[in-house]
Amino acid sequence: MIEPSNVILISLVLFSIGMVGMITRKDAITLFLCIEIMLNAANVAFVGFSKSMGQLEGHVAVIAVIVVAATEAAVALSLAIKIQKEFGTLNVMDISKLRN
Amino acid sequence: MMAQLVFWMFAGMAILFTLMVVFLKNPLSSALSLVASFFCVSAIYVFMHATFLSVIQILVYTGAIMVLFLYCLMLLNLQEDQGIMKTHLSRLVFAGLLLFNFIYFPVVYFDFNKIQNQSVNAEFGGMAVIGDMLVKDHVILFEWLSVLLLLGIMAVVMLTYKNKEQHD
Repeated sequence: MIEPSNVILISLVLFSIGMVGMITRKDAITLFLCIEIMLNAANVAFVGFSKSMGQLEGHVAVIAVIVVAATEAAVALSLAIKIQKEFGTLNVMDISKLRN
Repeated sequence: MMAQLVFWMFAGMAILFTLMVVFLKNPLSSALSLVASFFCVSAIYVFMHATFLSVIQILVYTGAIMVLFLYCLMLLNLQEDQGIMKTHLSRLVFAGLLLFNFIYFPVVYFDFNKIQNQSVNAEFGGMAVIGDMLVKDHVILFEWLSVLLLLGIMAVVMLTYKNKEQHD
């Protein structure tokens, strides 16, 4: 049988991989990809717990998380394009050193 | 038995592709690995009887958000990253410690038998029931989400708007 506890475990592993990626990567776009990994892992946890409780509120929460991720993706990508135009690089280490 | 095999295959592939997102140097390869990971997670949703969400994950999350990502990746000319193993040692140690803590303590100290498995009827996770919930029980959340989307559109337009007098 496929237990929801297995799905929770998978969500835990995915979230920690996303977290490690976010700490170590220096590209702004790849940082944002790791944020998406973490949001996806939270979605998996919601779905697992929703099956475990037999209620559908978890699915509504997943829809809310997907909407928030979409909005955040649009805003973050437009910001990234503006930063690339302004600083010439997307390396988050260098952006903090460059002043006008 | 066969269902368990397929489930663990998809779970392993999701974890493998997520690891590839973090470890690959080329940002385009990372984005495409994330797309593959989302497909595998969508298959995991089907095993949890979340059929509507698995389709929404492919259509909206992969098909809209990640495609937007890939468009912007193609616009920005990104150099290859230097890889995860060449970052500063303190950062790697910190990440390793966090990884260990996040995996060790929940696995050892959380009693996974507390999570039951309830059998559900055929309508669980289907479109009718979720739509019903969205507009009856959680209508305020639904309306606030549409306001959030409107705010996102406004933010993007404000960030990228060019007057006719500005130069490129």
